[in-house]
Amino acid sequence: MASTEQKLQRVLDHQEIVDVLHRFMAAQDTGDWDALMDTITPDSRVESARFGVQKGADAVIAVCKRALGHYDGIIHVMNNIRVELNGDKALVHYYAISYHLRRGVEGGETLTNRGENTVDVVRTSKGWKLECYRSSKIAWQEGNPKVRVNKSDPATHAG
Amino acid sequence: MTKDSEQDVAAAVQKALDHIEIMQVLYGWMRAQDQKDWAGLHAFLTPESTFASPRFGLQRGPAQVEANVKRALGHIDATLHVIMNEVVEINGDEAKATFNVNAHHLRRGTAGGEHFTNRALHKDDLVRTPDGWKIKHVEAKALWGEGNPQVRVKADDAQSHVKAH
Repeated sequence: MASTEQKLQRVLDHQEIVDVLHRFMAAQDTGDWDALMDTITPDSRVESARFGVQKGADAVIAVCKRALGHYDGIIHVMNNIRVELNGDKALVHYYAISYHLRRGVEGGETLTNRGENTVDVVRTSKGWKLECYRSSKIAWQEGNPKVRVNKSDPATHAG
Repeated sequence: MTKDSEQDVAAAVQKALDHIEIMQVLYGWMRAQDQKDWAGLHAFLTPESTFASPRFGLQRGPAQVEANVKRALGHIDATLHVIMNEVVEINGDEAKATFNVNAHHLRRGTAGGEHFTNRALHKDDLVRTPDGWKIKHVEAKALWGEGNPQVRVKADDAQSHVKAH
C-alpha cells in the first residue's frame, strides 16, 4: 500500500502537470513567448498535422508564432485532462476547444477547432515541462475555415 | 505532528487523490467512447454497472452498456464528450460525481448541417474496487441540443430518432 508521502507526491505531480499545460495554453493565447519557453524543455518538439515535425525549443516557439500570430484573438480551452503518470514522465491526453477570431474575414470572423491533443511531459529540476506536443487524429472545425489561413503561408491552407 | 494531525493529513491526501482518480476514470470512460474503443469501455465499469440512457433506456451490465454506446455513437464520424463543472462527493468507498457534458458530434455529409452538440447533466455513481475506482451507474439527463439533430439519427434505428430532451 502506498504511503501518505507517495500519495501526496502523486497529487502534487498531477496538479503540477495540469498547471504547466494551462500555462502552455495561456502563453499561446497571450502571445507571451517567454512564458511559453518556460513551459517546454530545450529539446522539445511539435508533431503537427499542418507544420510537420519541429525540433528544439526555438523551433517550437517559431511554429506557435507561425500558427497563431495572425489572429486577433485566441482562446484555448482544455478539458478532460487524462494524465498517465509513469515516474518522471507522463503521457497526457486532453480535449482542446480553440476559439479563433480574425476581424474582417470574408464569410465570417470566427473559427472553432475541436479535438484531442497528446503531450509528453517530463520532470526536470525546474518542475514538469512539455517534451512533445502532438495534434490528434480526432479534430474538426466549425465556423469559417478562412479565419486560420495566412495568405503568405501555404501550410496554413491545409485542412 | 500529533497522531491525530497525522491522520487528518493522511485523510486529506487520500481525499485529494480519490478526487483525481475518480475524474481520471470519467475522462477515460469518455475518451474510450470518443476513440470508439468499445472493448475498452469495460475497464471503467463494475460487472453490475448500469447506464440510464436518455434515448435508449436502462442498460444493465457492461455488455449491454457497450452495445448501447456503440448503437448511439458507432455511425458518428467523430465525437468529443467534454466534462465540466464536476462536483465529486466521496463517502468512504462510494462516490457520486455530478457534472455537465457537452457532447460534440460530427457526421460529414448530413443534410442540414454536419454538427450537433448535446448538453447533458450527469449524476454518476462510482465505487472503489481492488482495481481502483469504477463506474457503478451512469445517470445522464439530456438538457438540450444545438445544431442539426439529424447528425445523431441512424436511418435504420427508430429509437435514434427519439428526441431526448
